[in-house]
Parts: sequence; C-alpha cells; structure tokens
Amino acid sequence: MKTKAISVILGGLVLAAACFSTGVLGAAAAAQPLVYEAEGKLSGDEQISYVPDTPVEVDGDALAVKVFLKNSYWYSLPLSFSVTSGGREYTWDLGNSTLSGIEYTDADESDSSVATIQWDSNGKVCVPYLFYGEVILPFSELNGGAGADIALIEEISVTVTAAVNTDYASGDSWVADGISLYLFGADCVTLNGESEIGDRTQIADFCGMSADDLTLTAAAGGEAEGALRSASDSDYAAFEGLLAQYNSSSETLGDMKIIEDFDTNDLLAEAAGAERAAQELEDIFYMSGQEADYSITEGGYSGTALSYNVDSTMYNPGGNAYAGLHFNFGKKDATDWSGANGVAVYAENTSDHLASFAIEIFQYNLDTGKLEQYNLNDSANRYKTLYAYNVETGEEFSYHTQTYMRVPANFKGWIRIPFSQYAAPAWSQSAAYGNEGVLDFDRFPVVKVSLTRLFNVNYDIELIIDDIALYYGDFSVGNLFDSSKTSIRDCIENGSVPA
Amino acid sequence: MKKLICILMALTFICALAACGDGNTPDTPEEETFESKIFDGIDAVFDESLGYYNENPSAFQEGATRYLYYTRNTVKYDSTTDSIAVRVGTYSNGEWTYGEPQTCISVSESGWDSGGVFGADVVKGTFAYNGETYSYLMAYCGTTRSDRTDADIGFAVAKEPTGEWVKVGTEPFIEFNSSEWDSVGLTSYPGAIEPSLISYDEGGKVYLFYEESEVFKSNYAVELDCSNMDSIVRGGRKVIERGGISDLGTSNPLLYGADYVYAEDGDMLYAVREGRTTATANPIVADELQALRSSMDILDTIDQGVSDPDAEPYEWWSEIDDISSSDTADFESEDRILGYMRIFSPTIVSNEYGGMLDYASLEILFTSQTCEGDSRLPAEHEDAYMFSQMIHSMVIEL
Repeated sequence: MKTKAISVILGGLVLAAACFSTGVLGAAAAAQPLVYEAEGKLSGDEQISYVPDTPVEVDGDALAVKVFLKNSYWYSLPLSFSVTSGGREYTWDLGNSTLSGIEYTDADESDSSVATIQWDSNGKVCVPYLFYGEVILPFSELNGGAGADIALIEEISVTVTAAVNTDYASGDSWVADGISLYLFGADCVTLNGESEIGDRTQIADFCGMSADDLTLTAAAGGEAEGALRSASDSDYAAFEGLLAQYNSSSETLGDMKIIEDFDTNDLLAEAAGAERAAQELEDIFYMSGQEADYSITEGGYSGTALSYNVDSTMYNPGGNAYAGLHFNFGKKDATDWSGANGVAVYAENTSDHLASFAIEIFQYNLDTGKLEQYNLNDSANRYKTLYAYNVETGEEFSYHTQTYMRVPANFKGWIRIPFSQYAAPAWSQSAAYGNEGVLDFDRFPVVKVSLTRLFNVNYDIELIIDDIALYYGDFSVGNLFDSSKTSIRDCIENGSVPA
Repeated sequence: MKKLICILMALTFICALAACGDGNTPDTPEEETFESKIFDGIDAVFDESLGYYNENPSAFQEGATRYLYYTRNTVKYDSTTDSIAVRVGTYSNGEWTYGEPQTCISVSESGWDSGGVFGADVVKGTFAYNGETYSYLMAYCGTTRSDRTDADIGFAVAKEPTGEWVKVGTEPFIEFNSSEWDSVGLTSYPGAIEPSLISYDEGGKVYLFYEESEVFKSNYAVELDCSNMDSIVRGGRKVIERGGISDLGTSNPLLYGADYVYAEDGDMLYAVREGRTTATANPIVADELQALRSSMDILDTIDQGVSDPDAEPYEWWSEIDDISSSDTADFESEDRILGYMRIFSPTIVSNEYGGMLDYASLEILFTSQTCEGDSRLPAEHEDAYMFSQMIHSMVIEL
C-alpha cells in the first residue's frame, strides 16, 4: 500500500482560481507574487510584516496564508506566523503537532488536496519543499492553543528561520540557507470542518504588490540579510514548472524508480526555459560541514550528472571531517519508498584510487515530526555488504564497507544498497534527536538524501554521481552458474517496477 | 566436543619413485646432507630436510591416489627458488605414504610471477587451452617480490595431476591493485592470495575462492567458466559473509588462509581457516585453526528490503571444531608434548572436484614452523626457521 504522507485527496473540493481572493493572478506580468530570498547564510531569523491600510475585521475561524516554497536548506522551512491585534502580537505555536492545509497541484488551482503540515518542537510551521498551498492557522490555536479574542487584524508577520543546529539530525554547520519563499496572499477564512474553506475575507493580496509595501527586518533587530522582491516572469514560470515536475511520476529504468537523475526536468524546461531549468537544478543542493566542489556536468549514465569533488584547497581545518551535499526530492512520487528493496546509484570514480561517499537517507517520521537519518553506520562496527555492476567490464560483485560506500578506482556502474544495510546512527537515537530507528516506508515518506564524503581520504578525487534510484527486484551477483537467479544487469535491462 | 584424531604418518622413502606415477626424476639432490626438522608434536606427512620449506598444502584424492601440492624451495636454504611441488600418496596399512616431490611450476624468468610462486590449489575438469584439452586446473599465487607481498593469482593446466603443467598466459587472472581499494595506495599488503578451487559442474565451471588484502580484507568467491582458458568467462564475484565467525578483538573476522570444499549432501560449504594470530615473534602466523561450515546459500542470499533493527546479524558460519597448538602434541614422545607453536595454512583433503571426500570426517593438512631464534636450529643458518616448515595431518570427526 502506498504511503500518502502529506496529503489526502479531498473529494469534491475543486476550487476555481477565480473564487479566491487570496493570490489570484491576472495577467502574469501584472500580478506576480512576492519572493523572499536568502542567498547566503543568514545570521539570524528574519521577519516579513504587512500592515493593511486599514485593520481588517476578523470574519471567520482562521488565517490562511498562501505560499510556495522553492528552495530550503532542508526538507521543510520552519516558519513562524503571527498577527497583531489591539497593539498586541499573537503567535501560533503548536509545538510538535500537526495541522491541515490545502495543497494545490498546479498553478491555476484546479486540483487540490488536504495537506498535513507539521509543526516542529520549537513551535514552527514546517512548510515542505515545493509545497504550494495554504497554511491554515486557526485562531483557536493562538496563545498555545488557548485562543485569543481578536476582532481586528492590524498586522500579519511571517518569520523565516535561519539554519542553525536543531533537533533535526542533519542540522549542523549549514553553509547557506538558500531560502526562496513565494508569498501569494493572506485571508481570513471560515472553516467548514477541519480543512474545507468556506467564506474568505482578504487581508492581503501580495500578487502585484510592491515589496516596499511590506517590511523585512532581522528578527533580532537591524538590517535584514535576505531580500524581498516581486517575482519575475521567469520566477513565475519556474514556479509553474516546478509544480508540474513535483506532481509528475518518477521515471523508471528496469526494476528501478529514479528518484533523482541530475538532469534538467523537461516539464520545468518547457515552462521556464532550458537555462532557467538548469539553474533550478543547480540550486537544489545545500552544503553542510566542509565546503565541497560540485556541479552539474555532462556524462554519467545518461544526460547530465553530478560532479562531486572534495577540493583540498577548500579544506577548513576547524570544520567538520566531512562534506555534506543535501537535496530534497523534486517529485512527490520520489518520497514514496514503499515496496522497494533498496537504494541504487550510478557512480563513476574517475581516479586511480579508491573514492568513497555515503547516501544518507532521511525518513520523515510523521508520528514524531522528526527527520530521521539512516546510513551505513553500525553500532558494533560490523561491515555492510554492497552490490555492484561495472557497466564497462560487465563484472558484478559484492563487497564489504563501513559507514561510507566505497567506489573502487576507475569504477563505472551501479551500486545497490539493500535497506537491510541501513541503520540509524547511535547518536541520532538520543533524546535530543529522537530518531526512533525504524524504517517504515509504508507509513513514512523519505524526503531527502545527503551525499557525504570524508575529506581527508577523498582529497581531490572526483566522483560522478548520476541516477539515484530505488530498486524493487530481487537479484543475485552475476548468474553464470544459475540463470534462475537474476543478475543486476538483468534487473536493469529486463526488470520492472511493480505498479 | 568432537574428538580430534591425530594421524601418525610413518615416514618412508622406499618405493617413492613408484608412487610418483610418471617416473619424473625426484627434485631433491641425492648428495645433500639430510638435516632433521624440529618436531614438537605429531609427525609430518612426509619428511624433507631442514633447508626446504614445505608449506601451503592442498590435496585431493582421486580413486585410491592422493595428490598433495605444496610450496617448496627447490634449492636448499634458497628462498628465491619457490616452486609448486606435488607428491603422490598411496594408502597402505592404514596410512598414506607420499612419494618424492615433483616440481609442477617454478618462478618465471620475468613477469608477474618472477619473484615467487606459492599457495596453489588444483581441481579436475575439462579445460581447453591453446588447442589442447587439459583435465586439471591449478590456481596459484605469484609475485614479482621476493617477500611474497603484492601477490596476484594465475592459472596453470595439466593433463595429469603430476604434470606437465602449463602456465596460462603471461598475466595473472586476479590482479591485485594496491590503490583500487585504498585512497592513497596501500604500502604493505599480501595482495590476492589463498586460492581455493571447487568445480561447479565437473566440467569447466569453477568457483575460485580467494583472499584479497585490501583495506577491508575480504574473502571472495568468483564464478568462472574455464572451459576455454583462452577466454575465461567471469561471473559474479561474491564476498564471503563473516557472520558466525569470531575472533577476539575484531568485529569483522576474516577467513584467514582459508580452504573450502563443497558438500553436495545438504548443499553445504565447509571451510578451514587460521585463527587470528597472537604471535609476536617470527613467524607471525596463526597458532590455531578452525573448521567451519555454512549453507551454500551464503554465496547468493541477499538480505533485501528493510530488516528488523533489533534482529541479531545472521550467522552463516558454525564451528565444527578447532585445532590448537596443544592438539598437535604427541604424548607418546617426551619431547613432543608441547605441540607446535605455529600452525597455519590449512587445507581440507577433498575429492578431485573440490568436493567432500568423507561425510564422516574432515582430514585437515596444515603447516607448522619453528620460531625464529629456536636454539635447536643450526647456528650456521641464521634464517633456518624460514626453511623449517612441515605439513601435518589431523582428522576432525563430523
């Protein structure tokens, strides 16, 4: 059974764009949403505030804020929402809970579903990567759920959380925040049931609004490091293309579902052009730990691939021992790992020496709201077994490794890691991180992977990494003696992914 | 606890030529002085003078005849004269008697095996090479170095177990590359060693087991179709899982120096290996041997999908018995009650296809060696311990 982690189709709720006051777009050139962007590393949280010309009389149950999150340093961007009424600021803080939102699958909002939106333990709303929809904030949940008697809304604010060490296992030493948050509008809404929206009263339509109509400040005071601007036509086209990409199905190759191919997406390129699509692909990556040298390059298994090098000249002796390169999945379908047997990756080691890297996987535990990290660590330091097919020599082999996936010198081909080889690192199962240590793909999505490399053993050794996939077949290493056992090559050339 | 039975091998040189079968000239010069090796326990399966190392045994029995292959120097006290020798064994009066050594292969004048040849194993089958059909395939280690490091594995073929042996090609088949599995390149490493052959079909298909001393030191089994040695077909190379093997002080014990036989009954793989050494003086080799068995599924079973995080790792291997130094003692001789301090390089006597010879017992051949500095060694040869290796036999009941 496939896991429906984030959303459930809401039958009968078809919302025409024209029905909304929130973020309704006329001609694209005339009414673009606002975009908040942080290019580098933020030194602190930043707040975007809007003061209506006249206070808006509250009419309904909740504040609905329509956003689209394009980039973020991790799978979801923690946001804090507040309203000011009677000169007093009220903030939503649901600490480690969930609320419903509405997610649209295309820009014209012809199809929508109920989205479950997680709140982290710090009371922030975690807006998922590539989420386009409305975050619904019931007034009854203000003041930590005690509610607030609000008659007029004088100001609304959204605070963007800077990347810092958090209780997310991966949240250390982020090189950049790289946030790109589209703001469409905000309404007072009446809820029919938990998540169906009835009447609306517009508070703000950011589409077509000038950035100067809002204020952007550092939450701790002082000048903001991020920037607020109107989306360009290209930004809007990218938004449309990314939405189409996000809601499209993953491609398959034999018994593999490709969850990242490091190619520019056709749907995105069609909407926003090849150049913009290529830039969007470059922008999906975030680094933590040591800085590394990466780029999208021609080559790999097909199309383009990721070139990933730990450049000795970039080494920071005071930094972590590893370089981490992270990305979220650009397709919702790629987060569904149910039924798969393991991870497959196409890798090329172009050097005459061993290279190594890890594909660390991040399961979003919807029960705890934690992003749980799993890798090839073993509490007893036992070796893990991986399986490889060299596409140049045709050789298939299994081999042992520990923590990192070893890629022998001059190897070109596929490496398969059964999920059985993954484990939660011991440190992540402490109370501070809260990793429950159980992979359960029938219940939980996997939302991102990290490609990590130890610096000191990988100096200046470039890896070409192409398709990262899930494999579904049962295979053997070679089948020279027993053709009833499917080789890795057979799986790739003749296998299939279960429907 | 299974009982270990020592096979006391009577030594004889009478009728040795008749046992050789093909009438080859013995390789030990007749005029040399025989110097006895040092016995701290059971007899050797054959005697040869101190000054000749007899090590890395591998043996199969075809019909009523045994073929015992081992590594031997052909010139006394000269370690540059490595060879793979064979002795033919005949059974009489309850014991095996082995004839004189015949050289199968020697170091090449140049190339990958010009520094040393050692650690051979032989299996029967059908192997075409250069227009000829051969019945025996040998896998052996070779290196360009005199210290037997950086070894590769190559093949030789013969029509009879005693030869003439023909080396296959001029390149090794398993070529060890010190940087393939290391980020900077290993500086000290044995290489690809300990080949062990098992026939898959009694024809040209064989499993080649071997040990690769890359950073993670692993044992592998490679599927090979050697029907045409001019164009060997490689199948999968399967790492041998370690679950069930235990050595003090390591989470990932290896099948050090292992030899393997296949048991059709039960589809089992039997192995004998060296225990992890505690030796601190030369030779730094094992002082314990261990016989194990596993389901043959170990080569093809992959734990797919998510596994229970609380489950203990699957234990493929189970111990049959072990042989310690004290087990090699001979309590019928006052000066042999300590047993051998160094016992290593074991092999299981198999049938000609690398299969089980006897389902009631395993006969283990292994090597012993006198330690450096032993005062009983001749003073005129400081390195005499390097030429003191003997091959012994013990039987483990199943």
